[in-house]
Amino acid sequence: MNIKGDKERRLAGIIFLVIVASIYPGFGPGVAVASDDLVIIANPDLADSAIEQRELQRIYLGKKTRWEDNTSIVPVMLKSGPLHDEFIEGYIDRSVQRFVTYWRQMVFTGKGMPPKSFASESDLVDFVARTPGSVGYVSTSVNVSSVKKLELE
Amino acid sequence: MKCDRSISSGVLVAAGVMLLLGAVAGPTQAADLDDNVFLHGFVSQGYLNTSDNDYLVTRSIHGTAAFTEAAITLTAIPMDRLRVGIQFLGRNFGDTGNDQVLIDWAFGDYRWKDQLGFRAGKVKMPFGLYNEGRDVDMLRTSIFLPQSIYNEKMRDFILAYEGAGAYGNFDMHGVGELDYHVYVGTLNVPDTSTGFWTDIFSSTAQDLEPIVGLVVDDEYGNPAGTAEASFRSMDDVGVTFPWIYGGAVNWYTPLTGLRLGTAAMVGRYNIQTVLRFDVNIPDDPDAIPPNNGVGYHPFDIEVDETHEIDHIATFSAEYVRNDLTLAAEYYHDEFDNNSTRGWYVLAGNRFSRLLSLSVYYSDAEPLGGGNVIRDLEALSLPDYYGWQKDLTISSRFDLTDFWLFKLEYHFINGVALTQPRTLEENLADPMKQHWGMFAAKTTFHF
Repeated sequence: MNIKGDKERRLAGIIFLVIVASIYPGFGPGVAVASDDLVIIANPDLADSAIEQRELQRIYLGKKTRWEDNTSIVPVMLKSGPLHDEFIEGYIDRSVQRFVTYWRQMVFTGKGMPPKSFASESDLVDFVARTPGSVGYVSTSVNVSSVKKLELE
Repeated sequence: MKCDRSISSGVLVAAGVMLLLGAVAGPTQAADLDDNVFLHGFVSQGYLNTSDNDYLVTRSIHGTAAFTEAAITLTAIPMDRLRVGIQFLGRNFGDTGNDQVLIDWAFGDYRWKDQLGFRAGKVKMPFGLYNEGRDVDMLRTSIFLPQSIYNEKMRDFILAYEGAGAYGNFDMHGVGELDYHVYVGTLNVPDTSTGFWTDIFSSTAQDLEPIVGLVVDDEYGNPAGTAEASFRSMDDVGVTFPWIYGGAVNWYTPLTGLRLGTAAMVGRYNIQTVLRFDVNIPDDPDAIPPNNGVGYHPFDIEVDETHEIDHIATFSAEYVRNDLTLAAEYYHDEFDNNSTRGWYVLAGNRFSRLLSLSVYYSDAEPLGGGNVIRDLEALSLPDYYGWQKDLTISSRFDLTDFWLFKLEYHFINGVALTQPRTLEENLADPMKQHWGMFAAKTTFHF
């Protein structure tokens, strides 16, 4: 590489090292630990009572679109907040910003639409209860008697 | 510093409409027109200035704000498995796109099953890691993608296909996932007045100047070398693509965050144009025999040619983890036995809600490497005309969830991708080997 200027090379090198130095804490796969604060819920008509983390990731990235009985999957999420962040980072294994950017790319290239989002957990639960094929998450303090709870495998 | 501030009225209107809709919709979400109809948009305004050499746009050495993009996206889900959508894009970039709001993409997407879906219409072409989103500023840290792969002059070949495609995702469980997208169709070139379409004939036309002079000399019975011909313009350019086909495959490996991919396209295009020359027979009373036809003579050459796109291909690797991105790509194309290659490596990270940084090194040899050096020597041009190496440092500031600002500087060695000049201009005043480009850009989106 013959880029003019020792100063420019040093600056680029410093920036590169800073970026690479941030790698170490980030390496390694994420493994969801079932949180005491969060529960995965689904429409009561869903046959399954458990779901794998991998399956959940594919659903929320738009790669798995149908349940085994060929019902259309309707993923939903919260608009924002600590519970939403915990779900995206812990279960979907993406940073929140990375997840947002992923769906922006899907939208602005015409390849997909993000999961429907709700401001309140109660609205989310109501939607899941009445919508076949839907799946979502809420805090464990929310009344989920109208929906099915899914165990994370 | 003199700046070019031309911004198309169409883009401004689009920007104003989008900002108004964004204010109505709220800053971080689409306007939900209905449970199944969604509206999104963005507007970007940039500025660039090169220290030497005109690059990407004419008059870049003077600084230019003719760097605007605005888009409106409308998507609907009329029934299960079917999605339809359209994106209008207004783009003003130097001399291209002024006052034009075009359909960026518009297609129907039927997802029969996860492994197989169909798209028909105008679809963004899958090519490399970032081609489909190349005009969407908020998807990355840098303002400009590495030009060794995402060359603005090659934009018309890889932007979007018009035809039909199939795509899908295979879950291979312990071996990761496989995404694919294959297509067949054609390409539509909205503006043939700039970029590849003027470059393709600019050097050829200059090579034809002495031949044109000889033809005129013969026509008037003068000794060879009497007439002086110079290339004036390339007019009435028409480009059609009878067919193209291609595809992309991405393997999301078992190592979380690592993706490997490849993409390729082949095709054929036809170009029609008129090359216009100015020919002057100078008055020389001492010439033996006496000059005939003294004065100005226009001379046109009609061109109607078919060219093969032997291939345009990329090989890509990307590792993403949390907010860290590492990427590398290699590009190779071949048109009628003339090849181009390029590659880059990139590292980027988001350090906070506000700040992201990235750095990339890009190396482009658009004229094929070793043979070019020999050809440049024959033309008495320096070897750095055959490459362009670019070290770019980029910063991104997410001021709010829907407003960002970027600053970027390119340290560049070589001039292979700069705006074309005549051989006479290059010999009289060679372009600078080491030079730089500053760029700034802001984007609003919803």
